Amino acid sequence: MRLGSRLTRPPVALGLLLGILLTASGCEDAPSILQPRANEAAEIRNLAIILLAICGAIFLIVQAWLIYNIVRYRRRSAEEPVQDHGDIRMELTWTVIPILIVIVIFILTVNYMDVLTNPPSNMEIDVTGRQWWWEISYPAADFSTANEFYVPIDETVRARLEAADVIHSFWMPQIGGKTDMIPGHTNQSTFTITQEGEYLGECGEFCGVQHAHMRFLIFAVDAAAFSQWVEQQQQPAAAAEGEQAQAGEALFLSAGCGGCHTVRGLEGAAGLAGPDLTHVAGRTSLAAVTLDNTPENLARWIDKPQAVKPGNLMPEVAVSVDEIQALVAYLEGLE
Amino acid sequence: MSVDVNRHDPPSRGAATYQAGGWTSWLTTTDHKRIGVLYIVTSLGFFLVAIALALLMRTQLAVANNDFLSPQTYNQVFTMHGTTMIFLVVMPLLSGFANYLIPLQIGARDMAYPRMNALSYWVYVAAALTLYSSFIFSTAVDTGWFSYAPLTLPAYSPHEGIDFWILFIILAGMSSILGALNVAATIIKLRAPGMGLWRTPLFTITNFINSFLILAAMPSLTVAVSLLYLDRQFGTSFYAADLGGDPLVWQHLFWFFGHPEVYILILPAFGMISEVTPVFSRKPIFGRTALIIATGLIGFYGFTVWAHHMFAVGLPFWFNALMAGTSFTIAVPTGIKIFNWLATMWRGSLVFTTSLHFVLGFISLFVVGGLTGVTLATVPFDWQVTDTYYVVAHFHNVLLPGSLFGIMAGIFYWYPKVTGRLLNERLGKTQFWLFYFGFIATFFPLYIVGLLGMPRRVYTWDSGQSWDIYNLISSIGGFVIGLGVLVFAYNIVVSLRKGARAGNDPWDAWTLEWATTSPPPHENFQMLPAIYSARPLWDLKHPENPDAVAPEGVLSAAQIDNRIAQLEAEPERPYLSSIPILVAMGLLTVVAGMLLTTEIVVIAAVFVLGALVAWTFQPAPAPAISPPVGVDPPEFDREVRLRERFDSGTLGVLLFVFSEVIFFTSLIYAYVDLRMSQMTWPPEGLPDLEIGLTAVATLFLISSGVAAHYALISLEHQHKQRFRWVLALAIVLGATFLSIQGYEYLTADFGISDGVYGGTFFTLTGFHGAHVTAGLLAFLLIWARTFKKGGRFPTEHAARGVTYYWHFVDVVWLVIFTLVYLW
Repeated sequence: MRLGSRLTRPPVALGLLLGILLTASGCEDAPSILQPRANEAAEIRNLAIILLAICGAIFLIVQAWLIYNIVRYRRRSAEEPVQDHGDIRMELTWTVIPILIVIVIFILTVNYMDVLTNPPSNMEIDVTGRQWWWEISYPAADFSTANEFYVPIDETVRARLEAADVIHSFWMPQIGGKTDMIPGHTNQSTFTITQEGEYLGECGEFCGVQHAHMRFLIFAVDAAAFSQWVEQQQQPAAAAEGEQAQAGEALFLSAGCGGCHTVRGLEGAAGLAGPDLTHVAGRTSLAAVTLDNTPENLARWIDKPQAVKPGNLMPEVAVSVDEIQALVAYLEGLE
Repeated sequence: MSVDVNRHDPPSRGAATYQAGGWTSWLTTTDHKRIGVLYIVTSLGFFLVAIALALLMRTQLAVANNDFLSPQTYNQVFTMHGTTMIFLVVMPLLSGFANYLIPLQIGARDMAYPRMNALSYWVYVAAALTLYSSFIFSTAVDTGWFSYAPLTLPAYSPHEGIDFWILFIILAGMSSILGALNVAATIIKLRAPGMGLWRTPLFTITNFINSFLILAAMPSLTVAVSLLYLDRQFGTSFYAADLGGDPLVWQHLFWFFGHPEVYILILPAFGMISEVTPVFSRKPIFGRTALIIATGLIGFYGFTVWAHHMFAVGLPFWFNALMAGTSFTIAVPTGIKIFNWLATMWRGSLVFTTSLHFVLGFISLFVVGGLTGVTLATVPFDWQVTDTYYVVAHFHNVLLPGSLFGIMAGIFYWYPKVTGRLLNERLGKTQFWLFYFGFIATFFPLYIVGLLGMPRRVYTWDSGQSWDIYNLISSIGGFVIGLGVLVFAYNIVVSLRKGARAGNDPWDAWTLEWATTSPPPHENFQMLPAIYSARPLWDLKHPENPDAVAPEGVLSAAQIDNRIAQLEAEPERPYLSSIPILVAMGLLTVVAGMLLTTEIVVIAAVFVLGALVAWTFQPAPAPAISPPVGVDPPEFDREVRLRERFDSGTLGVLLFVFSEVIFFTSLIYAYVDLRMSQMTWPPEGLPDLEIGLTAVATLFLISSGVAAHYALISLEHQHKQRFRWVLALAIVLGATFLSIQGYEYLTADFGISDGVYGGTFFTLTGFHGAHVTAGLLAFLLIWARTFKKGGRFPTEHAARGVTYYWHFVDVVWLVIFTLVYLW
C-alpha cells in the first residue's frame, strides 16, 4: 500500500461530497428542495443549511483524526506500543459535547416544527390520492379537477388530504414537505407559495405499480389570474363543435368513458373512478404528468393506455383509428 | 505461572469422527462450527443474488425513461433486494459468525442448545425456499420490504406473492428467535471460568445485546404479518380502513420491529470492528466499558424511535418531537463508539491488513451515514427528504460501509481460523478499493438526486430534471461494487485451496479463538489458558506486562496434565441429529400446504409435532460445559452461582417468554388502538360478550397454574407420586378451560370476519388458546414420561421450564380477560 493513496482517501471522499453538493444547488430544472419557492420549503432549506454546517464540522473532525492516525501511527517497528486502556476525561469529552450538540439540534427541530405546523390559512382545497392520479376539489368554488391545479401566490393554502385506496403522500419539493394520505385518516398540509410558476408535485409513498407516474402540477399565479381560472373551471364543459367532435362526444358516451370520467354538463358522463375531464384540454399534461397534453399523445393514451402507463386502471377500449381521432377532437374542445 | 497455549496442538479429540460421516453429516450436524459455516455459505450465496438484483435496478435507472424492466418486475426486484439483504444475507451471515465464534471466544465446546441451533439454520433455509419459490409458483412480492397495508390487502394485491412473503417472514422470525435465544443462553451459561461478562470479547458482547434486540423486535413483525394474513385469508379487517381497521397499526407494529432491526444488522458488525481494530493497532480497545455501555444504550434506544419512520403520517406534534429527541440521543452512544475506535488506533502501531482497510473505510464513510441519520431525525427536514433517494443513500451508507465493511473486516480476520488458510491480501485490497470508491460513486450522487426531488421506489424517471448525470454515475458505481464482489468471491474460493497456511494465530491476537487450531477440533479446545483479563492471550504472551496480575489458584503443570487426562477419558458427545432438519422441512411442508394445497397442512403439522416429541426422547448432548482450564480464580465461584441460578432449559423458556411478552403486547396494542377508534363497542347488531362462563373458565385456568406449581414443588421434594397426580389435575383443569373456550367459539353469535370486533376477539383468544394448547401438550409429554418403565423420571428442569411458561400463559389470559371481556 502506497502512503500516497492512504493520504488521499478521505479528502477524495470529502471533495466529492462537497463538489456534488455545490453542483446540485445549481440545477435549475430540478424540483429541488434546495430551491424553495414557498415559505415552508424555504424554512426547511434554512434548517438544512444549519444541519449541514453542524454535521460538516463533525465530519471534518472525525476525518482529520482518522487521517492523522493513518499517517502518524503506521507500524514502524516490531515493538508493541504502550498498552493504554482508556481515558475517562476523553470519554467525558466525547460524551458531553455531543449531548450539547444534540440538545441544540433538538431545540432547533422543535422550533422549526412549531413554525411549520398549522399556520392560519386563507383558503382550503381537498386533495385525494388515488391509484395513480390526484383529485383536487375547491369546496368554496364547488368544482373539482385532476392532476393540475392553480393557487394564488402569497396566500396560505390548506390542503385537506385523503386517500381513496392505498396510502399516498402529497409532496411538492419546492413548496414544502410531505404529508401522507392515509385511508381512514384526514391529514392537512399548508403552504404559502411566494413566486409565480409551475411546480411539480409527486407521490411520496410507494403506492403500487405506477407509483412512478403519480405526479401533479401546481400553478402559482397572481390573484387576478387565479380568479379567472376558478371562474373558467366552474363552467360546465363546452358543447362539442364540428362534426368530428360531435361524433367523439357520442362515442365518449357509447364507449363507456362516462362511466369512469365526469364531464360536467354532459349527461351520462358522471363517473368518479377516473379524473374529471370537464376542462381536460386546458391541462398541460396527461395521465398524472406522464405525457405532454398534445393531440398525438392524447390519441396514444386513449389507444394504448396500458402501453403508456402499464398497470394503470384505465382499460383498453377497442376503438378504431377514426374513432380515436373523433374522441381526441372532442376532448381537445374541452378547454 | 503461564501456560503453554499450544499444548493442545495437534488436535486429537474428536478429530476422527468430525471428519467422518460424509456430506450427509452436514445435514444432521449439531456442531456450532459446521452450522456457522452453513449459515455463512448460504447467506453469501444470497448475497450474490441480492447484488444481482441491485444491479438490475441500477441498470433500469441508469438513464431516463428506460424500459429494461417492466414496472411490476422492477417493484419485485426492489422488494426482493431489500428482503433478501435483510433476512437472507446480513442477519444469517451474522448468525453464522455468532455460531462459529461465540463458543470459541468464550471457551465453550458448543452452543447451549446444539439441536435447536441446527433447527434455526434449517428453518432459515425453509424460509428462503418459501420466499424464492414464489417466483415459480406465483408472483413474487412487489410491495416493498415494508409492505404497507392496505396496498398488501387483496383488493390491491390479489396475487399470492404477498402470502408467500408473509409465511416467509414468520419462518425467518422463528429462525432468528431460536437463534437469538441460543446465543443469549450460551453467553449466560457457558463462559469459561474467569470470564466475567465485562471481560467477554466485544464481538460476543455485541451479540449478547443483539440477541435481546432480536427477541424483542421480531415478535412485533410476526404479529404484524399474522394480522395481515388473517386480513387476507380470513376476512378480518385489522388494516382495512373501510371496515374499521387502520393502516397505521401496521406501520407502528412494523417499525417497532423495523428500527431495532437496523441495529440488529449492525451491532454485531460493530463488534467485529471492535475485535479487529485493537489487534491491528497492537493496543487494547480504548474505553472498553464505555463501548459496551454505548452498545447497550444503542440497543435500548432502538426501541424508542420507531415513529421517526412515520414523521409524515400526521402523528401528534408532541409524539413527533419525542421521537425526534430519542433519535438524536442515539447519536451520542454512536459517537462514543466512533471516537473510541479512533482512540484505539491513536498512538497505536497500525498494521495495514485488508481487515484494517475495511475498518478505516468503515469509519470514514459510516460517519456520513450516521450524520445524515441525524438530519433525518430532524422532523421538518425529514418531511422533505423522506421517501426520496436521500433516504436510500442514507441507509445504504449505514449498512454498506457500516454493516458490510464490518463483516468484510471480520471475514478477512477470521477466514484463516475457519479454513486454516489466509485470504489473498492483494485481492483483498483490490476488493476494498472497488468497494470504497464504488460506494462513494453509487451513493453520494443519490443523496444529491434525493435533494433534487427524486422519490424512491420509482421504476423510471423523466429527463429534464437534472437527475440524469447523478443516476448514471450511481449506476456505474454499482457495477464497480459488483466487480468488487466478484473479486471477493474469487478470493474466497481460490484461497480455500491456495491460500497461505495460517497457523493457529496469524494475527498475534488476544482472544480465546486464537488459542486453538485453525480450524478448531470438534470440541474446540484441549484446554484453555487462564483467564483473568479481557485479553487472556496477551497475558500469556506478555508475562512481563500483563493486563492483570494472575490471581491465586493457578494450577500446576501436573494438575493441568491431570485435567487433560480426565478430558480424554470423557465419552464424546453426540453431534448428529436428523430431527432438526426434519422439523424444518415439516414446517416448510405446512407452509407449502397453506399456499398451494391445504390438504397436506394437517399431515405436515402432525409430522412436525411427532418430530418434536421424538426430539424430547432423543438423548440430549451433554451440556456443553467449558473444558478444563489452567486457573481457578476465586471469583469464579461467584460466576458459578450466577450461571447456575437457572438450568439451561428454564433459562431458554424464560428467554422465550421475554419474546412472547412482546408478541402479546403487540397483539394487545393492535386491539386497544383499533377499539379506541371505533364509534360503538360492540358495534350495532352484535352482542356483548358473556362474562359469566368465561369467568368460570378463568378460575379453571388459574387453578391449573396453582396445581402446576404445586406439582413442581412436589417434584423438587422428590414426591414423585404426588407430582404425577397433581400434574394430571393441572392438565385436566387446563383442558377444561380450553373446552369452555371451544364451547364459546361454537356458540358465538359472530365470526372472525365480523369487523374489528369479531377479528380482535377471535385473534386474541385464539393466539392465547394456541399457547394454552402448546403448554398442555408439553405437560402431557412430561406426564406420560412419569410412566416410562426404566426410563429416567422427568427432570425438575423440564417441569420447571414448562411450569414457568404456564404461569406466563395465565398472566396473559388475565390481561386478555380484563381487556376483552371486562372493558
